[in-house]
Formats: sequence, C-alpha cells, structure tokens
Amino acid sequence: MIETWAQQLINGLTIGGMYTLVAVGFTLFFGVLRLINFAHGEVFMLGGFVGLVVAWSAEGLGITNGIIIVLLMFLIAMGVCAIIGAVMERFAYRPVRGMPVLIMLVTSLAVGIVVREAVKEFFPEGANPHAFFSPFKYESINFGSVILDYTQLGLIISSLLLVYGVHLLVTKTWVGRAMRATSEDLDAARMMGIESDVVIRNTFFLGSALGGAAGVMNGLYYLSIRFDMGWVMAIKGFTAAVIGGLGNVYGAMFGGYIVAAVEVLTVALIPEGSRYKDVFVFLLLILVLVFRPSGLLKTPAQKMG
Amino acid sequence: MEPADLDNTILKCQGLTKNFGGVLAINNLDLEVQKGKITAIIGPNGSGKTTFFNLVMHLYDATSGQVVFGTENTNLLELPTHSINRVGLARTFQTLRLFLNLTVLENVLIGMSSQLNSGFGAALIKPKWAREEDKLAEEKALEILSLFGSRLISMCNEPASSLSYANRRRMEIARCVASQPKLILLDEPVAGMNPTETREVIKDIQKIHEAGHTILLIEHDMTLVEGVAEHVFAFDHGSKIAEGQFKEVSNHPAVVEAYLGKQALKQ
Amino acid sequence: MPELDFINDQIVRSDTRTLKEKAKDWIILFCCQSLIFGVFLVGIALEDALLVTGFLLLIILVAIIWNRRPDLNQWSQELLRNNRHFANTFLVLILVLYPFIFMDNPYLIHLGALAAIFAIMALGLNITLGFCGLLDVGFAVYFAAGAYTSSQLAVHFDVSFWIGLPLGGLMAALFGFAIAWPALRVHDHYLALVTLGYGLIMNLLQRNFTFLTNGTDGVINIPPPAIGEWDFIQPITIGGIEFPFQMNFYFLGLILAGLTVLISVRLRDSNLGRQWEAIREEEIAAKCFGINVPFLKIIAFSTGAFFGGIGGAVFAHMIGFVHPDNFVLLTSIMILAMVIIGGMGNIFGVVLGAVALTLIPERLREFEDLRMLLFGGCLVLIMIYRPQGLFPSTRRRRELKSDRVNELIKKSGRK
Ligand SMILES: Nc1ncnc2c1ncn2[C@@H]1O[C@H](COP(=O)(O)OP(=O)(O)OP(=O)(O)O)[C@@H](O)[C@H]1O
Ligand SMILES: [Mg+2]
Repeated sequence: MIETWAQQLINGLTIGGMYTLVAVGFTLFFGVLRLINFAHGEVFMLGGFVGLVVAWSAEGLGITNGIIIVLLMFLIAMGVCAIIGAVMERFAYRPVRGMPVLIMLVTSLAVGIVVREAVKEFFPEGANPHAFFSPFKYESINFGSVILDYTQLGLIISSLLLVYGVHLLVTKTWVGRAMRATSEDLDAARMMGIESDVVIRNTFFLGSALGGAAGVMNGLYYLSIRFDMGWVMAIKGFTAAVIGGLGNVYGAMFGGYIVAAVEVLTVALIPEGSRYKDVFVFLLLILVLVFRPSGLLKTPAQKMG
Repeated sequence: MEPADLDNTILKCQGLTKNFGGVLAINNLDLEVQKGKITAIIGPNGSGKTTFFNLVMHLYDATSGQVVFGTENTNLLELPTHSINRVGLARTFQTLRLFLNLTVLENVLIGMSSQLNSGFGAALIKPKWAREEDKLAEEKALEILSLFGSRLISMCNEPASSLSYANRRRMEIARCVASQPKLILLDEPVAGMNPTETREVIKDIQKIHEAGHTILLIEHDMTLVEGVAEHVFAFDHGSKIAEGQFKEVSNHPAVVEAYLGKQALKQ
Repeated sequence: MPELDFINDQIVRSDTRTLKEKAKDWIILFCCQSLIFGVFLVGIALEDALLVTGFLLLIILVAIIWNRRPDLNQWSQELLRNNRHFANTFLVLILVLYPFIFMDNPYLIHLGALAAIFAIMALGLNITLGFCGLLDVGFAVYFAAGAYTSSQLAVHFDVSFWIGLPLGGLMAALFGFAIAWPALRVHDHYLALVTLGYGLIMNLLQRNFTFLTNGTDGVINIPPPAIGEWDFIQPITIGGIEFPFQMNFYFLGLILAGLTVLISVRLRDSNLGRQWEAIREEEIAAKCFGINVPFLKIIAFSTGAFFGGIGGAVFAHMIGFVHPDNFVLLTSIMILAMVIIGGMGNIFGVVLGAVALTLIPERLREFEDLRMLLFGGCLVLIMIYRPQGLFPSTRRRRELKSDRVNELIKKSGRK
C-alpha cells in the first residue's frame, strides 16, 4: 500500500513540476496584462516539437551524449518559445491591450488556433503523434516495487531548478522585480517609472520560455507528442494558476502540485479514474473560481457589490 | 440638538459598524433621518460617508449594527440590494454609474423598470396592457426629465455618454427620481461643478424636495449644504461627531478639529 | 447599415415623403439590394477555392472603401431607415427564393439550412452575450444538450421530432440554468473560464457517459422529422417538378430562424431587454435600481441556451448523426466568433456572421486543413482592426414623436 502511494507521489511530483512551469506563465501574463493567454498551451506544445527537432538534428550531427542532447533541447526550445511568445505579444496582444475582456480572450484563442494549425500543417506529419527522444530508456532506480526512473528524477530536479531560477529572477533582479511590481499593482508600477512595454515583453520571454521547457519535459516523460496536446495542458496550467491566485507567482507553483495531486488521486482512488481525471481538474477550476476566486492561499477580498 | 420625532423617522441606524480588514470605515454609527427634510452628511475625505450609503443599499455586508427604514421598520441589512430600491430607496453615485450606451430616456426608464409589470411573457406576446404601460412610462420619464429644464430632455434620444459632466450628474438624479423613492441618497451631487452649475443643481434639488421627496445627501460643498440642508450630520473616522442645524454643526469644535486637523496634516 | 427590424410598431416617425420620392427610394433600394444579393449568390455558387478567396478579398476591399466614406454610409442608413418595410420584404423574398434558384445544386440548399441552424444558435448566444453581457465560452454544451436529447428520444423511444425539438430546447435551457448559478458569482475572465471549463467537462462526459450518449460511437440513424407518413427526406413533387428534399430542411431552418429573430427583437425592445442592457452596462447601478440581477442573468443564460438546444435538435435530425466531436471547444469558439464578427447585440449582424462563418469555410473546402489556420488568422485580424464587428450594435433609438419633445422643451423653458 505504502509503495503504491510512494509511486503516486513520484508521479505527482513529476507532472506537478510541469504544471507549475506552465502555471507560472499564465500567472505572469495575467499579472502584467490582465489577459488569460489561451495560446500559452500551444507554446508549450511548440516547445515539445522544437525539442524533437533538436533531438533529430543532434542525431544528424552525430551527438550521442544524452545529457548534452537534453540540455540542448531545453535551451533551444526555451529560446524559440521565448521569441514566439514575444512575437505573439507584440503583434497580437499589444494592439488589443486594454480592450474589453472578450476581445482579448478571443484574440488569444485565435492565436492559439493559428499556432496549433501551423504546427499541424507545416511540421512533417504534423497531424500524427510523434515519438519523442529519450536518453535514459529503461534505466531506473527501484526501491522495492517503487520505480523511480532516471527521466522522472531528472524531470523533478529540473523543474525544481527552473522554479528556483524563477524565484531568483523575480526576487533578485531588477527585471523580475519590475515584473512582480507590475503584476501586483499596475498603476503603482507605472508611477514608479517602470516601462510597461518592456516589462510585458520580458514577461512573455520568461513565461513562454518556461512553457517551452515544460513542453520538452512533457515529451521526455510521455515519450510522445501531438499537435493538439496544448489544450489540456493550458487548462491544467491555468487551473494551477487560479488555485494559487492569478498574478501570484508562488501561488502558481503551489497550484501546479495541487492539480497534479488531484489527478493522481483520481486515477488511484476512482475506478476508471484515468478517463475522468481531466473532469476533476476542470471541476476544481470551476469550484475555485466560484468559491475562492483569489486562490486557495489568500482570503478573498471583499468586492464592491 | 432637535428632539427626534419618532413617527417622522424614515431611516434609522444603530451601532452600525463596517470593518474593511482592519480599517474601521464606519464605527458604531447611530443616526436618524427625518421624513420630508433635506439632510446632509459632511465630513473629511475618507470619513466613511460613501461607505455609509453602500451599507444602506446593502452593497456591503455590515460588520454589526442595524439599519431600519420607513414606518414598517424594514431591516435593510437583510434585504438584497434590488429589494431595497423597491422598498423606497434610490441613490446616486459619487463616481458616476450611468448606463452609458443607453439613451438618456432609457436611463430614466431603467429607474422605473422595476415598477413595471411587463416581464418575459409580456415581452414576447406584447399584450395591450404592456404596450400601454410602456407608453405611460415613457410619458412619465419625459416629465421627470423636464424637471431639469431643457438640458436632459433635448438629449433624450442620445446615448448618456454624450452628456456633459454636469448633465451626467443631473441624469443620475433624474434616474433616482424615476424610481419613486421615499428617500433619495445623493453622493456629492455637485462634485466637480463650477459655482454657476452648483447653484443650478441646488435649485434642482430644492425642486425635487418640493415635489415631496426626502433627501439625504453627502456634500463637501458648504454653500450647497448651507443652502439646502435643514439638518446636518458630521462624520469623522466613521462616527457621527456632531449633528444639528448647519450653523451649529459647522461651529462645533469636533467638526472644526476634524477639518482643520486633516488640513494641517496635509500641509 | 442599421439593423433591419421585422416588427416595428414602435416607429412613430411620420412619413412625409411624396409618392414620387417614395417610388424613387424604392427603385434605388431595389437596385442596390438586387446587386448585393446578386453578388452574394454568385459568391455562394463559386466552386473554386481560389475564386472564392478572390471574391472575399474583393468584398473586404469594398467594405474598407465604404467605411472610409461616411457620406455613403449615412446615405445608405437613411435610405434603409426610411424604407424598412420594403427592405425587409425584399430580404425575406430572397431568402424564400434562394432554394429555388439553386434547385439543381442541393448541396447549396443544405448549406443554407446549416446556416439557418447556426444563426439560431448565434442568436441564442447573442441574448446571453450581446444583450446581457455574459461571456459564455461553452455554448457547445447547449448545442449538445439539444442534439442528444431529441435524437436519443427519437432513436430509443420513437418520440417525434416535433416533441423532441422543444424538449431539446428545454433540456439545453436546463443546462444553461445549471451553469448560471455558479456563474452569478464571477465576472469577466473568471466567467469565461467557468463557462469554458463547463464546456470541456460536458464534452468529456459526452465521451464517457456511454449510456446516455453512446460515447465516441455517436448516435446514429437519427430519423428525419416527419409529418404523418411523410418525412423530410422525401422530396416534394408539385406539378411534375421534384424539389430536392434539402429544401424541406431549409424551410424548417428558415422558419425557426425567423421565429428566433422575432423573439430576439421583441426581447431587445422590451422592458426586460432594457434591464439586461442595464446589467451589461453597469451591474451595480442596475442592482441599486431594483433590477434583480441574479434572476435576470439566469433568465439570460437559460433563454440563450434554449436556442442553442433548438439549433442542436434540428442539426441532429438533419445530419442524422451526432458525435462528441461536434461539440468541442472549437464549436463554442465558432459560435462566439459568429456573434462577435457580426456585431454583438446587433441581430441582423449576428445572423450575417452566422451565415458567413458557415458558408465561407464550406466553400474553402479545397484548402482543407489550411482553413482553420486562415480562420484563426482572420479572427486575430478582426479582433485587432474591427473588434466591434461588422455591424456594431448602434442601438436603434426609440424615436419619440419629436413634437412632443419640443413641446416639453418649450414648457420647461430655457433657463
Ligand atoms: N471596498 C473597500 N475596501 C477597503 N477599504 C475601503 C473600501 N471602501 C472604502 N474603504 C475605506 O473606508 C474609508 C472610508 O471611505 P469612504 O469612501 O466611505 O469615504 P468618504 O467619506 O466617502 O470619502 P470622500 O469624501 O473622499 O468620498 C476609507 O479609509 C477607505 O479607504
Ligand atoms: Mg465618498
């Protein structure tokens, strides 16, 4: 019994790490732009595909060291996604900045469609699932019947490292502090002379890069990627962000693991749970939005009316 | 202090308190508003005047205390906001809240809408009574608009967003009158207006008062308060620090201190 | 172009034109409308995707030029306003004649019927979103509720379409009612997320609750609507001419869409419609003026959903097959796009948006998968350059008898 729980814990930590990375993006975008960037899930998906391309090219170039390939995958996927994110911001979101919620919402949905369809059309065999590259096939540490394969270990560690990196960035650097200040109080930040355009661009760089990293991690973990996998991830990501309180970076990290826990528990406790795990995540999203709109961490502030 | 005439009290609150996470916006407030009069609330910025209105309209839940209204002693704190309007209270907003994309006439019609009988069924079937009700309402709305001279009525088919600032404030008052309230709450009706406009609005308020409405208004503009108010409450830090005729209140040491103290701090 | 309205007993503007002027207006209007519909019909008949693209670009160009000429705009608005009855009659006539024009191309008639179905649903969303301002990104839920209810009743219990149709609508209204409760507590982004999550949950349940929906096998062999012995897939023959059976569905769709337009217009012009708009504009003020905001919001959700269900029921019995893939997020986005592109709150615009978004993708079938990419791209461009939609809701102002107003102005006397 203990062993199954330990196994679930390991699985939960692995996927929780990915959700956390995606959630941080959502929360940052919402913070600086009051936008729920539905296209963020597609950026995540794109990260997976870029990682795949890197793996293919590395093979072509004769690089065989798995660690180096994985590192390259992360670096390049994060870089490409950061740029894509910033491009999206510049050409789609900036023109609709400050418009009614509906307009921004539809814009981001439409941008998501564009990215998804572009991958589907222009990636070779884009409409089909692709096998992902894995450097650590079949190698694992076993504690009794609990299996911790190296990929999982690597993923847990790298997600923690990235999260720690985000923490350092937002607390220790000027760029990060400006981001956080903007996200906590837009007007106050503007009064302090923070240039919102720059902050928003940086935010999209950072958030999208994290999304790209999560995409690579997702590929390494499930060993298969598809053009339409961004959606579900997007919803889990923003569920996590909502649980932590939209705009709150640390909350998003916490939310990611909560979502993972819900998912793992559904699979473990409910018969045929794996078919319903997403239902429970979406339900959680609705419940949190309705009953704790400022997240589980903070007590809700009273609103006028 | 005047003796409170019990039969003549329209709004009465006791021990009213509102705590915004540590900020006591309203602190153990007792007051009684007399029917048929124009009553004013004065007080420095942040003294809880608008919060008091919000509590009366139940836009916020009070922390403690009670507010009762009318001869039936309706407990307002237990009613949802829309029912409060139906028992006879209407208010204006310090930060104007007009229906900007609706026409001036429609804004007034909204003020009356909860008194109309036509609902979903009437909308679909359009029976004769509903059409007649509609026409009557329109006629009534025009009458109310004409209380303000030609300013509003000449714009009656334009969207409210095309009104000037002063006319928007008038529009807010017109909308209140339209809902036929027993008590009208005005939150800074002349804020941001020049002296001429202020004088005109004073006349408008008096006209509405003469038409039989009881008015409770918040105002910083002392000429207005002196000109119209028969009774004045002074607030500071969420409590009533003085009440009575304008002369008494404005010379009351606590009031002088509240205003000067605040100003001294600012300088 | 102002909204065309179909019942206008509230217009009291007196017509002072002479018969000659009237005739002149009518002739001009007749020519313009004939031209517009002619171009439109040619566009529909185009088969080649490249030609269609060229055609669309041409229309966009004309629209842009038109937009830059306020005088033309003004003129056309005046013309339409003064000749409402004429313009409406013409429009209805064209819609009735449409299937006869394309009698030898039943597919086009089928598309017409599909457009009518989507128009019904878009009008439904327009009540929730356009009138009351409630963001609903899960409209496919109601579409599905209507489709599954009436089709499963027909397949398993032999329930007639004519009973299944209103039941489908009511079931959808129930689903709208269900989400309205939690939706009352949230606004803006959060409302969008709640309805989006609702749509996704329901889609997953459609896939997994096999006992209700047949899961991913879908509901098959849904019988077409029938009257007595005759059902809708038997062509009608009159005077030796056989009319394609698609026409039956077309007219069913047209009649239902017409009813939906009528109901929308009446709701918009009523006290209820005004109260909805007040909620959309300023919720707090609406509350303070005695409007029961939660109740009206629930009504708005349920009414909108009802029409989603009606559209779904007709869809199911026309296509004969219902599958969870019909009710994915993309469907909700499509219906949302119809409303926004048409012009939120503007009934005529919304119908046009629905027609355009049904026909254009169908006509671009040759581009196959690029279609979605184009759709996404165009949607982004529209959001950036024309977020208010093609026909922004210039609310039709109630035109009061101006002499009455003048009289009141005089009486009040200028100060
Ligand atoms: N929604 C709220 N949340 C937290 N604090 C609030 C809220 N509304 C008001 N306050 C606080 O309550 C106090 C009273 O505010 P209120 O708006 O009632 O003052 P006021 O007397 O109307 O001032 P003014 O003359 O500037 O309009 C202020 O300190 C204000 O910051
Ligand atoms: Mg105030």
